[in-house]
Amino acid sequence: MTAATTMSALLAHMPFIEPFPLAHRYWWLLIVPVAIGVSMAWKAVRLKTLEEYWRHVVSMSVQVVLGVAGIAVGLYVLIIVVLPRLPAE
Amino acid sequence: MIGVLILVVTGVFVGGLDAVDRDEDRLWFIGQAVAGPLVIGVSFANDAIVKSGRAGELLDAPSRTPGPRVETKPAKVSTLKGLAHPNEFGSLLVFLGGLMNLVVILDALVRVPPEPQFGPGFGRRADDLGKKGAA
Repeated sequence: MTAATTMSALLAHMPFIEPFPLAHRYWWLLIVPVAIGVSMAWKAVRLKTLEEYWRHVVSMSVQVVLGVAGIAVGLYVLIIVVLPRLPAE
Repeated sequence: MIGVLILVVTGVFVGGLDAVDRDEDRLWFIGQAVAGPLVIGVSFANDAIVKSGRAGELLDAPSRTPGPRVETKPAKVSTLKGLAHPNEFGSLLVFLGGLMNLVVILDALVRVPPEPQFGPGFGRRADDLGKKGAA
C-alpha cells in the first residue's frame, strides 16, 4: 500500500461505521489498547486502595506487552530457526 | 468502567459497526453483550446502518456452494462489512470489554464490605465506655 493509497483510504474513512483501514497492516499494534484496557479494569477490581492505581496499570500494561512480544519472539525462533534444523523423517 | 469503555470503543473503531453482529456472530455477541446496553445498541446500529444499505452499498453475496446459484433471491452483503484482521480484532476487543465487565460484576457481588471506619467507640475516650452504665 503506497502512501497516496494510505492517505486516500484514511480520508475516505468513516470512523465507527466501517473498519479502520490501517488495521489490516498494523493489527499487531492493537495489543497496546488491549493491554491498557484490561489492566485498567483488572487493577480497579484487585487493588485495595487506588492511591497507586496508575502506577500499577502502567506496570501491568508493560508486562502484558513485553510478555506477548516475548511469546512472539519465542515462536519465531521455534518455527524459523529450530524446526527447520530438525531431521526430517 | 473507563477500561471497559476503552476496549469497547477501540473495538468498534477498529472493526466498525460490523464488529458486533448478533445474527452472524452470535457466540461472540453473547460475550460482547455483557459489556452493557452500549454493545446492544451497536448491534442494532449495525442492522439499521450497515446491513440495510443506508451507508455503503449492498452487493450480491457469492454463492456458498460451487455450481449455479439455486436460491431465487440472492443474499446481500454490505461493502462496509468487516473482513480479516479488523473484524477479528474488533470483535475480540469488544468481547474483552464484556469479559472485564463480567469481572467487575462478579467482584461487586462477592466483595466483602470494608470494616467501618467509625466504630461504636468512635469519639469517646476508652474509659468513657466503662462509665456508660453509671451515668
